[in-house]
Amino acid sequence: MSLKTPTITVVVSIIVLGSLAGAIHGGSEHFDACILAELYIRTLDLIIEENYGRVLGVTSDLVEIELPSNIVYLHKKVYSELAKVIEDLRVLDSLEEKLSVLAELNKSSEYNRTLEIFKELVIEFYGDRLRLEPLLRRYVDVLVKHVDPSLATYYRDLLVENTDRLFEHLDRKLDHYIAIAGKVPIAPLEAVSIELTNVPEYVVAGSYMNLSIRLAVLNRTVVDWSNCTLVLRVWYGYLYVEEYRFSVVLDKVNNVSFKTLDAEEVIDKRLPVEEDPDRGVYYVEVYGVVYCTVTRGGKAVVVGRNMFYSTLLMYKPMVSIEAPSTVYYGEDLLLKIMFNGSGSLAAHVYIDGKHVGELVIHNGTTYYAIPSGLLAKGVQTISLELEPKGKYMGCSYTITVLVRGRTLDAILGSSRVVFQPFSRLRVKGIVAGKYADPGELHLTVLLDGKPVYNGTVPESFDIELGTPFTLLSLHKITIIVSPSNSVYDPVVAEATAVVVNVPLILTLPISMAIVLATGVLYDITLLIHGLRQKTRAIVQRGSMPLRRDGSWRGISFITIRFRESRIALLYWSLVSKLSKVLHRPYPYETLREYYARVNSRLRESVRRLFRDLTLLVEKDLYSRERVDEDYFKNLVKRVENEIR
Amino acid sequence: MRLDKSSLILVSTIIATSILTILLYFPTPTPYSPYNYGEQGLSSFIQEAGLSVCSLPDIHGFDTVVIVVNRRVTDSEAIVLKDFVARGGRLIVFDEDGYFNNVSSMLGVDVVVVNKTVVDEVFKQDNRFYVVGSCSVDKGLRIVFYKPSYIVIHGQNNANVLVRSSMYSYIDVDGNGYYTPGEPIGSVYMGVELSVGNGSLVIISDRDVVVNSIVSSGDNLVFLKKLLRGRSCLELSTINPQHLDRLKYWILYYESAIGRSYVVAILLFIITIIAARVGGEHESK
Repeated sequence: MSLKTPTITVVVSIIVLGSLAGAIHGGSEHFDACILAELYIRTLDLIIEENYGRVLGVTSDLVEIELPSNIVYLHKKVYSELAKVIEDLRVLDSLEEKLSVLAELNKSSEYNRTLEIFKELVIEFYGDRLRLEPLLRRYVDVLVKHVDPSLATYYRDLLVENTDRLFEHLDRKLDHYIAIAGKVPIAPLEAVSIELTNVPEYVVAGSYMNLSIRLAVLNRTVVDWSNCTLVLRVWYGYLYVEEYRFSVVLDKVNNVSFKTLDAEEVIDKRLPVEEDPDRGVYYVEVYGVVYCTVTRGGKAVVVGRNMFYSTLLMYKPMVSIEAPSTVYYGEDLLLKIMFNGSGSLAAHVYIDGKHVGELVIHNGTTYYAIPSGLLAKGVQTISLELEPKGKYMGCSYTITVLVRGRTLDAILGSSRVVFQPFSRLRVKGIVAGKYADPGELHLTVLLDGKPVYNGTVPESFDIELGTPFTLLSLHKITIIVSPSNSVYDPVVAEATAVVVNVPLILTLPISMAIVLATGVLYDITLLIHGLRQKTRAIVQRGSMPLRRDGSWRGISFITIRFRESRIALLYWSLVSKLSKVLHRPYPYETLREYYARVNSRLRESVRRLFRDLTLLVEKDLYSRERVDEDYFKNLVKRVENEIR
Repeated sequence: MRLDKSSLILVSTIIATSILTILLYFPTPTPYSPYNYGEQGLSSFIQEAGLSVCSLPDIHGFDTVVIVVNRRVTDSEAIVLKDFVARGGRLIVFDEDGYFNNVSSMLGVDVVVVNKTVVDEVFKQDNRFYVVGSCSVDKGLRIVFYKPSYIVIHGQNNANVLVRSSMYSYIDVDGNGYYTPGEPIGSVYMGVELSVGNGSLVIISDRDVVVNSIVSSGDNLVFLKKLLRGRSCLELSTINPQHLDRLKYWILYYESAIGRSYVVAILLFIITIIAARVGGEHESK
């Protein structure tokens, strides 16, 4: 208990502290709208300060910010449009400077060419400025929605004030450029007031949008009203624009209508679509800019403008598919498709991602049969992909169907106990097909997952199989009968079998008894005790005194003493000296083998002495007789003198 | 149930082996521990940068010492660190709480880590708390921090700024995780290098820049490897290690000296004997 507790504590601590450590890096993933508002204001300040070099760097940084999907598109659009306006301003300023230089140098032809470019750019800048305003106003609204409620009013006022300042600045710049252009056909913005009513908040895709537009002339002296045209530019998702032109009557309400994009066009033009999966609807932002233009000097002059916002609405078609969850292999699959909507929709059928057919779905119920030849055995994923049309977005519905074969009537079994070597594993079975001829039957038998039999069998079979050599073991038998007629599924049966090796079971205890009775384990015990005594590894067999204390087991009651062989030590000392002039003995060599290998290299007198010494060491080590140490030393000394 | 002596030794050995396995191979949960393989650990940094682990008394054997300051540095520790730098050593400090400020002043360096979080919604990884700093020395390197503090240099002429935040970052003075009107916006220092006597001092105002979950982000490893000079080690005591960290340090220290198998054998033997003795006493009672 005392040992277990700290272990458990350590493990629990690791788990708990590990999870706490992981939690440290959690943190809010909501974006910080306040800092975005501050950076927005600073960007506008830089534009107003006309620090274009720096503000272009800032916009290129800010346009790359990673933000949640509900704001990222608008954010990127804002900064890319701002960059466009800044670029316009930068180029216009440089052209203005160039114009003044050209005027001073009296280069009239180049001046006129540059002036034409300048005029075109002024018009482009005017268009960019018009597009920018609704975008920035919307951005301000979105930012304010995301700031802390206690700061919402503060930031709304601040953002609106700075946005107004920017447009005042841009309009001043525009007036300035117009003044430079002189004859640029842009009239003051306030020549005509355009009032828009009945702007729908949502408009269904593919339907007509009706607008009531009233034009009120503010300053009749400015322009000639003989050819007044209303230009309506409708932007979808800030990416695609359609332009309409209407003849209008001044100082009266003009009803105009235009057909909005349908779902097919939205997909075709790859417009950004927001989805509300809970309501099954899709949205595309729509904003329109209404210009009033008159013709002056053969050119269209913008004399007034206004904007509107709306949202294009598309629906997910309400389709449900009914199909049996299981069908038999070889049968057709009938899909019942119910569509609750208007018109008809084109649809494609896929099985596991492979296109297999197409159909048209009408309001109500439509049936579609998938031929049996297309349905393989197993779980099949059937997808119905609907094409976008009118107000309906394209979508996909998926069902899964299990295609299974018929079941064979089968009785399968195997032996429960196998007594080696007297019996073998028997596998028996009777198989019959109820619906059709099962054809050729293929039998596979697995023993613990490994195949031990593979072959064709008749409808009634009884085979014997070998089992692995074992003492006593339990095995899992898997019997699989696969008919060649694929209408049927393979039949699988599982069983267990005990394999007993009878001779081994009987022999083992007898062997153990013999081992224990004869004391064979003594050798192991001696080795253990020898190591414990830390005796030098020169063992002298035969002279080792053993003492048993009378116990019949004799395993843990033996005391062994080892002694060193002085004769052997003297011999190895001599061999060490000899090995300077002769070969060293190999570790596997016996004393005689070593002598036999080296004697040819010794002088006759030394050879004889070395042979005597070898025999004496053998005697000392391997017999019960002792060798006289002084005599041995004397022989060693003589050899040493001989080889000196 | 009474166990005979052989069974007792067998059981004790199994228990001892289990404990040893836990000691050697189980990671520790200690934040900033070199033996913690989780998000908050430094195991990847140690491995990738080829750092040794050392204790304070042993730091003089190294050219560079890295300390991840997770608690106050005591005066005695400060003296050792000061001595190390004075002898020409390179000290790299990861400190976001300002715990090292007293050592800085002891070293005569007028550089302060201000414990206020830097947040950046523009140059970030994943979210604004993972601030991406730019390396002033090796241009183009992006260093990822997690809720870093910032460094203020007071009239220190020899300070070399290593990493700074972007011009869009701000100091979250009130700590609410969002920008509050009035909070300063602009680039701040998050890594500086100073010459101190014969040695040098590097201060990085974030501990998390080296943890497993971040160290492989951006160019952190490239940057950190460039900071190291010669034989380098991570000093263990300032991370506020737990007992398991100290034990692992001890085992691995002796392992490097005499070899793992011997350490394991010795420990196994000691634990087995203790377990057997405790068990034997219990049995005799």
